[in-house]
Amino acid sequence: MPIDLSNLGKPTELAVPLFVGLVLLEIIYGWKTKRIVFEGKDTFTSMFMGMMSGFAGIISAILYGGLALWIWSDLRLFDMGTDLWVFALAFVLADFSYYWIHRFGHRVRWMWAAHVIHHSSQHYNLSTALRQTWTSFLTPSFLFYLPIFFLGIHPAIVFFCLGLNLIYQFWIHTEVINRCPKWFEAIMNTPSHHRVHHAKNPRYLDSNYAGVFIIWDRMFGSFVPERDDDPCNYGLVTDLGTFNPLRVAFHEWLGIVKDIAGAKSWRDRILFLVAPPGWTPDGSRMTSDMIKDDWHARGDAKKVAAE
Amino acid sequence: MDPVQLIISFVSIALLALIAARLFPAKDILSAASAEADYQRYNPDALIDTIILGQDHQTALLLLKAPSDQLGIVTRLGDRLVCRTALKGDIASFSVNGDKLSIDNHDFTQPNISIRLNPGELTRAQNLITGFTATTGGSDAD
Repeated sequence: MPIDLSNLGKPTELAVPLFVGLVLLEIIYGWKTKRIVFEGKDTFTSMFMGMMSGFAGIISAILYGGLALWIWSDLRLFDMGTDLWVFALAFVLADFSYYWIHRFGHRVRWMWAAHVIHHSSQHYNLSTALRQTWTSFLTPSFLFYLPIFFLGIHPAIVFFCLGLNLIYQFWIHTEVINRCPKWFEAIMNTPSHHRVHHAKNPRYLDSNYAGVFIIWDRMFGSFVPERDDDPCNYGLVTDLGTFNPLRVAFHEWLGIVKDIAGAKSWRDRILFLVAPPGWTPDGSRMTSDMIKDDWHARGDAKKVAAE
Repeated sequence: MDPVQLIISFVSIALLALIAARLFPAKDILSAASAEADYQRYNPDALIDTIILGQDHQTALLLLKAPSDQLGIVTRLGDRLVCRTALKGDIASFSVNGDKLSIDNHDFTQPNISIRLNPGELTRAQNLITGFTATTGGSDAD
């Protein structure tokens, strides 16, 4: 039975009171149990970033909504309609696209400049989920969703599913829940999987990119399980020294501009934009791969010394 | 975006942050031991020689045996620590005002740090950071 797209609404806007209520509950739970720690300024920055990211969403809709509609109306391969199964398919395809956007978001500095904001807190709680980017419209993220419109799924369905995807990802930003049932951990993204994603421990860097379904990480080799003997240490490899939202939002963009301005060749200029974060022509900074290699080498050296 | 919704959101955020700040007061977390442990995690190759810890426990300077061309800086941000490694030229300038040494960095997310020290350690810290300053040295504000 077809669903009327004009009644879809905006799921993320409807969920805002729920987000606020759950953050308050988690604060009270953490205070009562001493299991979770909040920091006032960190909480403010995270939630303020989330509130202002709504404007970035509006800019994205203006810039890319028309393109999506044009592709769907003039270039689509099939007319998929608006049945419930199309919503289900759109949800899975949007999550698959999200996985790749997120993976590229960690591996390409241009996209990392927008996404780094979400990782810039040293805390991991529900307020961290709301620490969202203001600059995603400056990246090529939207291109990853275009195949869904070519396939013939209406943009309104895709945007609705992306809203649900974002709502799902809210509850996994918590240390309140340790592990979910095994079957759930096998298929779905969970607090445990996502804690690993937010950790800066060398073992955990660049892993668990999933939005809703962790199966993408298992399929494409980026899954790393959480280990009780290596507790997650949250934040960035080089943490920010500020709570100032403007500095949080734009620091990596400024870093890119500075690096490109000081680059000696066009090759270096391009690589400062598309190479992994931390790349430099002389290797003076470290990428996540270099950090992991270094950590492995250190572990091997310890083993040899022990033998 | 609806302005009323925006105002309500902002007030809610401010209230939640206030509640968090009241229920979780930031503790004095920067000590010589915590500075050493966190910096060692950040820079595992570093061999730490001496730690100059500020009297207000906001900042620590770490003199390294190796690599000797680097200076470790650990600062407190709320209830967490932030580590930096300064190389020659990374510090833009510094100034001294009473017992406070203010350091301006070429770092967008941490443009300024300060450290309060007793007179002996203040002179030592000044001498130490001069080597990492882009300009020819600091200035005395007092």
